[in-house]
Amino acid sequence: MSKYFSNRALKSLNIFGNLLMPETEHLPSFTQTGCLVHIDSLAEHAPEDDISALNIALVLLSFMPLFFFKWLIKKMKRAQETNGMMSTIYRQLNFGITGLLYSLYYSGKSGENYKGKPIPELIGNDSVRKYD
Amino acid sequence: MKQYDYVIVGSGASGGVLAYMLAASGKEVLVLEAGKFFRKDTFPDNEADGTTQLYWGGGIELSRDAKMAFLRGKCVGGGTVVNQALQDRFDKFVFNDWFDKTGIDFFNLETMNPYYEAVENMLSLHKFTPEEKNGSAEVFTKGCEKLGIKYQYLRRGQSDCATQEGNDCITCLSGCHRDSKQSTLVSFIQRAEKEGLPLTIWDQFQVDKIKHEGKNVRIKGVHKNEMKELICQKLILAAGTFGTNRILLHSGFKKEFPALGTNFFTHPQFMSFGLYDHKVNAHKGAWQTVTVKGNEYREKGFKLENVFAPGSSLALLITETGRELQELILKYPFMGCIEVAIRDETPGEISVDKKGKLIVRKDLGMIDVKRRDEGLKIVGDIFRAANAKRVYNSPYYFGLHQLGGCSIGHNKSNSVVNPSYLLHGYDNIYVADASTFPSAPGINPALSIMTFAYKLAKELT
Repeated sequence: MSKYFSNRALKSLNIFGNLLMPETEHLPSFTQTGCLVHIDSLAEHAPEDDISALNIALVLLSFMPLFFFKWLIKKMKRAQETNGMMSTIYRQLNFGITGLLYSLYYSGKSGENYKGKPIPELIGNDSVRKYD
Repeated sequence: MKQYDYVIVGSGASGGVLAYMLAASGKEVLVLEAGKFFRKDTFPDNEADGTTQLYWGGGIELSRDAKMAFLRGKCVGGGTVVNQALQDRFDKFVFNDWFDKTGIDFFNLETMNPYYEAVENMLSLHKFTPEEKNGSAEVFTKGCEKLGIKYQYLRRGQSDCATQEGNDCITCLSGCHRDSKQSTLVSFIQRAEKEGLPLTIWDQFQVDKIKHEGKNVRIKGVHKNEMKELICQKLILAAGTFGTNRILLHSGFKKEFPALGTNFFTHPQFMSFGLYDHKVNAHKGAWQTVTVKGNEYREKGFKLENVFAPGSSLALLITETGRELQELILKYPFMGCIEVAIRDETPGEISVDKKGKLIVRKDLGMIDVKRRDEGLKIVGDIFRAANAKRVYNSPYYFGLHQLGGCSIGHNKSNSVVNPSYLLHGYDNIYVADASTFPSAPGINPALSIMTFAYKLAKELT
């Protein structure tokens, strides 16, 4: 359950998550980490209007077939090189969706059922905070 | 309500210095800061929470066409808490340009150097040495040496980073957990607390509008989710370029100041990655230490510095998705990274909608694109000279230094504040941050923002 995203929107985020970050030999998939449970801790600091608009877009997308998500990801990732109103929307979606999902996954957030190593450790990001 | 001599909006490079200096002179000072008051032991301990809690927009803000992303700090200490604390003075090139543009006579090194010295004496500054290079700086210097490119070590505001003991300074993009980085939080605000100065800080107070009422200024805003109004006699806007422009534009000052919101610059930054067979570990130790040296690059209009990004930020810079992304991200320790930051010539414009939401238009002009391309070509050459197996230029770019929109000058028709940093025609509303810059300096601006704030504080006391 999320305070900011409906179940349908969360479903879309999981689809995006697994397409962007699938399971590989070395890394778990987005949903395997269970990191989406932390979505509200990120969303609560984003502008309300932006999160609300993103929620609506994700709900609409939840009715679309998988190939549409794949097509949209391609559009989003190529949009930096193109101009026009649609490109602006693709870029906004890119920053909004991948920004949230990458933050959750690559910063090492996980659900309580995830038993693997933290993602930062798996990708070799072993930055250390030495407190004084 | 208690009467304050000065109310300052913002606590970053400018607001933090002004707050300390005015309080140190015995003035009662109230600082209104939109972000939260974090301390070294309360800063978020991971990238996701750091990004969302310490930056405006929940991490990033976008230009109107969403091509450029902006990063700006939102916490007590502002951008100085999340920046890299590189402390460079502006040079003759900047001051000559600004004098030509404004005719303001303190824009020269002779006048400004004593102020720089005074601010530098209040900071702990450290110039990096060859022994402190991490793998990414090693790649940078090796490539430069092979190509005959001169380089130099950067100077940073830091007191005790403990990189020799294994601390990795890239983590302080989410705030320094050692109070080593010389943010205004550490160097000015906490100093004021220790000295028991008459400084009050209200965090999570977002100013919405101001209204000039003769001898007073009325401030309307939201404090911890509650509407609040207060009245002060002297107001200093130091909310950073976006913050200050937004407040003035939303308060209706555009009619009076046609230049308000215009001449916006941001030093667009482009990141390039070199992939190596061996571990570079760009995220380890002192992670940004080297830059190219010489007037040649000042004239070319760009600078190159070794940098890097934490994991999820790095993923955002990559266009690969799916398995390709997952495979590329596994190369994290094998990447070197150099940024091209250009001195942008094409001005952008800041405006607000009816709700006061920022709208930022910022295009790259032909000169800007030429500078980017020339810089990226040299970066590619540096990486390859240092035996990179692949060079990856991110198509995404960022504005880390927001500058302009309230330019300083003598003339109300093309500027917003006068040489005393007062709004033209007003005697109690000051604007004292990077929004007053007449053009892009092409140099890290934090030290100069602090220095101009120090100069203003001296004039007010």
